Amino acid sequence: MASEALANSLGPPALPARRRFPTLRRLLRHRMFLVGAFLFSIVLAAALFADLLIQVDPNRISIRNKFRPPGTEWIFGTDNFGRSQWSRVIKGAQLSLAIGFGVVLLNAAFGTMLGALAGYFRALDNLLMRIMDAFMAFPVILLAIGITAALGPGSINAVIALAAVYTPRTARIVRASVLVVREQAYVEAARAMGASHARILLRHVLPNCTAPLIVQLTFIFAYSVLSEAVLSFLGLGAEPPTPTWGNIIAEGRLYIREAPWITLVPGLALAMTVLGLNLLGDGLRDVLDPRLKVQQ
Amino acid sequence: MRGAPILSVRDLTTELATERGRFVAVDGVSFDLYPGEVLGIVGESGCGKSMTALSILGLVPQPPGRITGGRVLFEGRDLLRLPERELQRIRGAAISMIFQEPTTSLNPVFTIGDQIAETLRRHERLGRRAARARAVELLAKVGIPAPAERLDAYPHELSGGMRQRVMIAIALACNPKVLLADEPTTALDVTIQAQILDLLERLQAELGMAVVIITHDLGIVAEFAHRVLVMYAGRVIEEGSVDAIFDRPAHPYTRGLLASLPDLEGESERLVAIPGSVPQLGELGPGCRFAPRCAFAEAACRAADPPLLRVGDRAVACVRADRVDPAGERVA
Repeated sequence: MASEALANSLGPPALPARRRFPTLRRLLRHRMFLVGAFLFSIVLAAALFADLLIQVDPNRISIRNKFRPPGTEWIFGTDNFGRSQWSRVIKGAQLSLAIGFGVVLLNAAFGTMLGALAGYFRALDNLLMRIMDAFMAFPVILLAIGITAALGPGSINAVIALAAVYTPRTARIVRASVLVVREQAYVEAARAMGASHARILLRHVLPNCTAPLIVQLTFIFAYSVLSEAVLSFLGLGAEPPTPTWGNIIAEGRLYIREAPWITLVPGLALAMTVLGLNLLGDGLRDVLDPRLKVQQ
Repeated sequence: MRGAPILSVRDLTTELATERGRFVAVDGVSFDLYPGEVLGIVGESGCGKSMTALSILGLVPQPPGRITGGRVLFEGRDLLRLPERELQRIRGAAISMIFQEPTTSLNPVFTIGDQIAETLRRHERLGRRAARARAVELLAKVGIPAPAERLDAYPHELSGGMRQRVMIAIALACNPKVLLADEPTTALDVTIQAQILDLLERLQAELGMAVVIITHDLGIVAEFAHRVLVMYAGRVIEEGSVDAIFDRPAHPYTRGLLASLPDLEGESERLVAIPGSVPQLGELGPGCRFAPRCAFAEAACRAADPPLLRVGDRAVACVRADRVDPAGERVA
């Protein structure tokens, strides 16, 4: 019995019990992250289950019911054509999130590619980053308006314009991370083991740059939802009658005294989405990249 | 043991561009490495010993570094003239390298099994399953307990000594003919240092590979190496068998290095330091680089840098080499 215990104690030491998903645990303890997640998931749920939530076609005009205030019959009231605000705002959520998501995807792809190339291949750095600087010299909205105006209105073009506008920011952040990671000993070790440049970049450098990228993309999501609203407010987003938060507000602003709910509801939805995403981003940043917290 | 050298370095010269101008980090270094031999390269920090190893594999970061001359002959080919693709095929396969910092030499986001398998899959074209099986064998070989379980551990779950064992496993994965070990034990605890050194010694004997061990620790050289190369300010100043160099150092610098070691049997209380410090870039005069710190320096030393010449059982770069008594007394 005793010798058995001794034999056991002499065996290979057990691995320390690995805590699963330590990052997730810390996120779940971050209060602001939870608030952000809650706000954003309301909007996300509305967008995902739009077909279940909408009983009335968002474009069905009913002059008899125009300017109905929010109540039991019309949850968010009706607009100047008697269209259901509930349906229109939920449809708008769908489009806003789809556009935000599209921008994030394009932005992640191009921003990562440009940033990685600039950071890893020093010869390309100056050329690429000066082009990025030139893009960043323009105010975001002005450049987005310019690009959409050139391409023509429409949600696809809005996605392209916003992705183009925000890509330099992401590229900068990826480049900064790559510059740090490429000097790490494990990159040198990988080179010494015969890894090619492509392999080092894709396998050893980029996977170690993901934390700041994820944080950045969360903010990009928020900015692009907001910017898309601005574009469609100006008539450069999806064309009416397709409801977007921006064009609902644009139409409703004529009646802001008589029927404030027309502008208020999509405005609140927009605020909730952006606030939610920003809180999410802050939480992710605190947990994934503690160094950034102090700077800001 | 001799025969044809497996690796021949001839007049290797590597420069570093700094803000204060060009600096020759490795200055005409030549040596031969024979199959199955352990060659120690010793010297102070900044003497160019790591740069020599990095230059052999073409790993000197450029810029700021640039290999400006020399040849590195391995299996009939000059590694310095090889295109990058060919070099990649040699690195980690025929010639491997291990580094000083085991804590940061492993990629934190992949398991150690992945990282061992990566090298195997790259060089030996093994499949996923075969590479994993080989990885377990390798971990067992480098003395990691419960290797099959450790395979899925991340680097941060292992101690420094364990990580260095993993690095050694990666370096030895493809049975290299030459292993360049750059200060492999410097960052480790003394007890772990001894374990890693024992491991390297055992594996060297087992696999019969040639090892270049770079260190500032003369104890490691005495214990592990067969032959030793002493470097100072980018140059080789003395070369010979470990016995010859440790018993009868000829160059005043080598003598100073050995004198600065504590003597456990002797009575001396104070360690002897070499006066002065390693010359800074740009401070190099025309003469012997060690002359400013050398107790025996004379006019001839400051006039021209002495070449590395064979004197008896060794090669020395010192104008007084043939006049120095082995016991260290001045003869002339």
